[in-house]
Amino acid sequence: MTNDIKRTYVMPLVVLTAICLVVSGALAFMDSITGPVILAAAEERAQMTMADMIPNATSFERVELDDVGGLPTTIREIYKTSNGVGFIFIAAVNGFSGDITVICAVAMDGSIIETLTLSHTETKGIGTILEQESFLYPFTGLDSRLEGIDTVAGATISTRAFIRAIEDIMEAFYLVEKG
Amino acid sequence: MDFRALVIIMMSAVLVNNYVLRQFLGVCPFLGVSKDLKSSVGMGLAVMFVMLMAASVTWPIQVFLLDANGLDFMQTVVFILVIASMVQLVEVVLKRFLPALFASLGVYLPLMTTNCAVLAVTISNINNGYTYIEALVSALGAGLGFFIAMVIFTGVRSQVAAADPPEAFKGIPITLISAAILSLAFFGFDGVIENLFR
Amino acid sequence: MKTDKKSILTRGIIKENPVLVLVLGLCPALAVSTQAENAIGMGLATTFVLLGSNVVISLLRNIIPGRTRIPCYIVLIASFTVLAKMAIEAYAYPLYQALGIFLPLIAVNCIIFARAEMFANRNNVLDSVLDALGSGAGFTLALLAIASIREIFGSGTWFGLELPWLADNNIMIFSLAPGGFIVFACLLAIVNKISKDRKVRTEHDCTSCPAAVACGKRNER
Repeated sequence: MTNDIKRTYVMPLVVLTAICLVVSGALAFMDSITGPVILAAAEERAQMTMADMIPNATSFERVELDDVGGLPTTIREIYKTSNGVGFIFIAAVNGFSGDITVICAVAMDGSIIETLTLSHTETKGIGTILEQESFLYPFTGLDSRLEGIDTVAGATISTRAFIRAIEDIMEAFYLVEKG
Repeated sequence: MDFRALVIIMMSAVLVNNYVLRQFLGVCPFLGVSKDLKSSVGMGLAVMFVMLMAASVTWPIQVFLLDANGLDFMQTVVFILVIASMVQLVEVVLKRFLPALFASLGVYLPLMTTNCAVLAVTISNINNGYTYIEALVSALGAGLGFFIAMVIFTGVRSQVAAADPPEAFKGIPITLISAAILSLAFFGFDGVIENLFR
Repeated sequence: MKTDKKSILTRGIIKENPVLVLVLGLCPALAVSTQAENAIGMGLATTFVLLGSNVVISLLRNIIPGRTRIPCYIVLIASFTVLAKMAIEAYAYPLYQALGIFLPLIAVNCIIFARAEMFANRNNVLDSVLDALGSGAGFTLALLAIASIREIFGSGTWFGLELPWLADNNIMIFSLAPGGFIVFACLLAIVNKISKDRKVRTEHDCTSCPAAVACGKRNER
């Protein structure tokens, strides 16, 4: 009788628990190896994108978001160039389906140097405008008033979300620059 | 809570990003169980139900358990186990308390464990950074989209069954061709929603 | 005996090709097959998971109790998937981005369940390795075939190389969802035509799916 209980209830539980423990250990070990590699690679990609946007910057330093009060909640990361050429902002806004992540380089005088869509999960055919030169280029040189952008961009959910991100970035710029 | 944002998430999950027809998620049950209306309605309801349950359970697990302890690499394993045990639980509860519902959904529930659409909805809720309410709405939308696709496709198949395709295309190939045409039809919704919510 | 081993290996590639003959694992086969490169990446990742789970399940086949074997398989397969996912994210980031959500979804690929339930839990390790390699190769080749057609006509490229004329006259629908269904339907029709006198599955439902033992009808054993 006890043997029966052991076979039907105890053994399965013991084996399943053992497998789960071994598996968790293996995954934690693998994570400890690949985790740093993944982070380093992401950091390197970010640095390269930023270096492309502001070529005459010597290097980029991360600005701690908590040090700047009253930032819009969409702002994810802020970097400043160590030789005072400008700032880089990364913001994520809700688009048509999921987040649109925007990166924008702003010069010290408050004009946009360049802006790009880092990633988006919009449907094929809807979100593609976010990657097009004809949509992104008109932002270059504008200041926080974003004059004339509405007519260029048309008005769809994706493009308006993008413009909202840029507006938040400009707001963040004035907060950071003052501080 | 922005109600408009929720409507957009819902509509895009149902029509624009339809799981089966646009993203190839859950194709196996879509082709396998769409032969008659009764079973496709049962399957569709079961998927919707399990997706909603799964999303409501996995979101707190990810946020309060995995993210809080730096264990997000366990996501896939934990989610599958949670879905599998939840399906078991639902089966037992339905059998005990709602035998009528169990009679119509019971056969399809065990299939949910290996249904990629259910796992996909829980993972993409996390990837998209949805809030709890948004996650529930997107799960409901995904399930509803699956249900609608199933029911429409059952109608299409009953017409195809009466047709006489070339010998080699009989069976699965002609079913796939019909799925392609239905998928093409769903492309029509792209502009509709885009312009509905200007 | 030697020919037996060979047939275990080759069976999965042609006679029992998981995608084109058994019609399993359709979701990844259709979703990531827009580019030949991604197809190869998906195929290799799936083969890795298949190999790992087959080996471990075959090793543990006398330890895992029959009643809890399904949860055990789920955990093992999912963890090999996560291993593959972490490795790809760290060392092949472009592939990681291209596969997207279908990378973690390898964990619910029914081909892997089918091999675990139908083969690995009743055969020795060597045979299970051969079986996994065969099925994995079959899956990869099927994906490559679908992806090649879709990439050549849909984007006018092959493995990213631009093809003359086709690059300027690409047919967009091939890289969209309907194209996936159509190309796969035509390949199945060709397989049907070739293997006309052999017994071929013409209906797709869960009762004829070998994985049904693992997912739907698990209580029947």
